[in-house]
Amino acid sequence: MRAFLALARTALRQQMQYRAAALAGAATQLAFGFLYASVYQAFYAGGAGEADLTLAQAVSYVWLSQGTYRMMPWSGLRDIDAMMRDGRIAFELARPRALFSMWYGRALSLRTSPLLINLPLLLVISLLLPGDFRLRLALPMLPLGALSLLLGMLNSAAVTTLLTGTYFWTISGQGINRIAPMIGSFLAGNIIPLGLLPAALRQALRLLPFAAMLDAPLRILVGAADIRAALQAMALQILWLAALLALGRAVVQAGARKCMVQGG
Amino acid sequence: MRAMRTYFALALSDVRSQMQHRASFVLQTIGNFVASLMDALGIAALFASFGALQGWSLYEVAVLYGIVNLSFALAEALGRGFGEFARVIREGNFDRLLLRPRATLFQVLASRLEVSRLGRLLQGAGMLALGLAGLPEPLHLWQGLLLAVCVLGGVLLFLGLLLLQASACFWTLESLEVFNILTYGGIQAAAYPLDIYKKWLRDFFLYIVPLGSLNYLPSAVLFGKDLPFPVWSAYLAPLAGAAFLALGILAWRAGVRRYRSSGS
Repeated sequence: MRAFLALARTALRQQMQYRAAALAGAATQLAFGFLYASVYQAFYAGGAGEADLTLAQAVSYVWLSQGTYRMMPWSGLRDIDAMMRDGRIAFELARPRALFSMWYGRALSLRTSPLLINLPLLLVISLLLPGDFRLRLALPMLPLGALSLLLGMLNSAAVTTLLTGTYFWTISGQGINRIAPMIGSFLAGNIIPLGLLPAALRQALRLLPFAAMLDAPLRILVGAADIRAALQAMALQILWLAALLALGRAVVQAGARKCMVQGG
Repeated sequence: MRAMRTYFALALSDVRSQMQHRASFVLQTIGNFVASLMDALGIAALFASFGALQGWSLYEVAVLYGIVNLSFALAEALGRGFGEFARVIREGNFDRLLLRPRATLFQVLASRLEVSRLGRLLQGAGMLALGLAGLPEPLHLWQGLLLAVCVLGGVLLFLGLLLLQASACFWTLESLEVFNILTYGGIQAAAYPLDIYKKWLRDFFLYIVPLGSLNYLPSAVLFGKDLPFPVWSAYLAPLAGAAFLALGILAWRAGVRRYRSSGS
C-alpha cells in the first residue's frame, strides 16, 4: 500500500509540470461544453422526447463530463508499450512488487491527476455561468455522487491496466487499443449523455462497465437518480470493478508468464 | 504544370513511405474512421430520441455534417505538413526550405499527403450520401454543383486555418492549442444548423471563421429554410473559404519575413 501511494504521488507531481497543457485542455473542454449544451437546448425546445434527463440535468451532465474528460481510459500506460518493444520490460518484471498492483497504481494516478486542475476549474466556471448554461448539482446526492465518481475512477484505472496488459500480445499500443477507447467513451456517455439516447439503447448500455465509469456518477450528481437508483448503479459499479480487476490481473499475469526478453 | 508534377512527385513519395508500414496505416485509417463515426452515431441517436431539431430533419443535418467533415478530411490530408510545422521550425529545418528554389509554402504543402485521413473522408462522404438520399426530392444538377463548390470552399477554409496555425509558429515556436478549438470546435458546431446557437456564436461561424457560409447557408437555401439573408448570398458564400485561405497565405508571408532560425 505504501509503495502504491508513493508511485501515485510521483505520477501526480509529473502531471503538475504540464500546467499550460492543462489550461489549454480546459479551454477546449469549455468550448465543447458550450456547443454540446447549445445543441441539447435546441433539441429540448421541441420536447424531451425519450430523454430521461431534464434539460438542466443534461446541461449539468455536459459540464461534468467535460471536467472528467481525461478520466476516461484513452489508452494503456503509455511507456509500457515501448518497454515491450525494446526489452526494458525486464526491469518492470524484476521489481519487488506485483506487476498488476504496480501498474494499477500508476493507472489510477494517470486517470485522476489530470482532473486536479481541470475538474475544479471547469466546476467553478460552469457554476458561475448565466442561467440556462449553469451547472446545477443535486446537493443532497453529493456524497453518494462523489463516492460513485471515485468508483468510476477505480473502474477506469482497471480498464487502463487491462489495456496495458494486452500490450504483452500486441506489442505496439496501436490498433484495437486505440480504437476501443473511442467506442468505449461513446458507450460511457462521454460523447452524448446516455440519458439522451433512445430508451432501449440506454437501458442496455447502463448495464455495461463503460457506464460504470462515467454515466453512473454523473447521473447521480445531476440528480437524475433517486437514492434507490443510485445505490443500484453503485452496486453495479462495484461488481464491474471486481470483475475488471480480476480480469486485468489474470491478463497481466498470463502476459508476464509468456513474456520472453531476448539478450541485452 | 511543372509545379503540379513536382507536387505529385514529392507527395507520392510521402505516400509511398506511409505504405511501408501497411498495418499501421490501416489501423490509423480505421481509427480516423471510428473517431468520426462516433460523432455521427451520436447525432443519429439524438434524432432517434428527440425526433427533430427545430425544423431540421436528420437527413438535412447529415448533409451539414457531411460537407464539413469531407472538407476537413481533404484539407487535413493535403495540409498535414502545416499541422506538423512546429517541429520544422523548432529543429531549424526551415532553413533548408529557404535554400531550395521553390516557394516555402509549396514545399511544406508537398511534403506530406496523409492517406489515413481517408477514414474521416469516407465517413463524411457516406453521411453526405445518406443525407442526400433521404431528402424528399432529389437535387437538381446545379444544386449538386453548389454542394461540390461548398466542399471545395470548405477545403480552402480548413487549409487556411491550418496555415494560420502553422504561421503562428514563426512567432511562438510551438503549436498553439487554441487553433484546435477553432478547427475541432468548428467541425462540431457546423455539424448542426447554425440557427440553433446564440447570436454571437452564430455570427462567429458566419463572419470570423466562416464555416457556416460553406454548409449552413447554402443548405438552408437548398432545403427552403427561412434565412435572414438574401438567397443569392448562399451562392457567393463558398467564396468565404477562398478569402480565408488568402488570409492564411498573408500570415504565412508575414511569418517567413520575420523568421529567424532557431539555429539548432
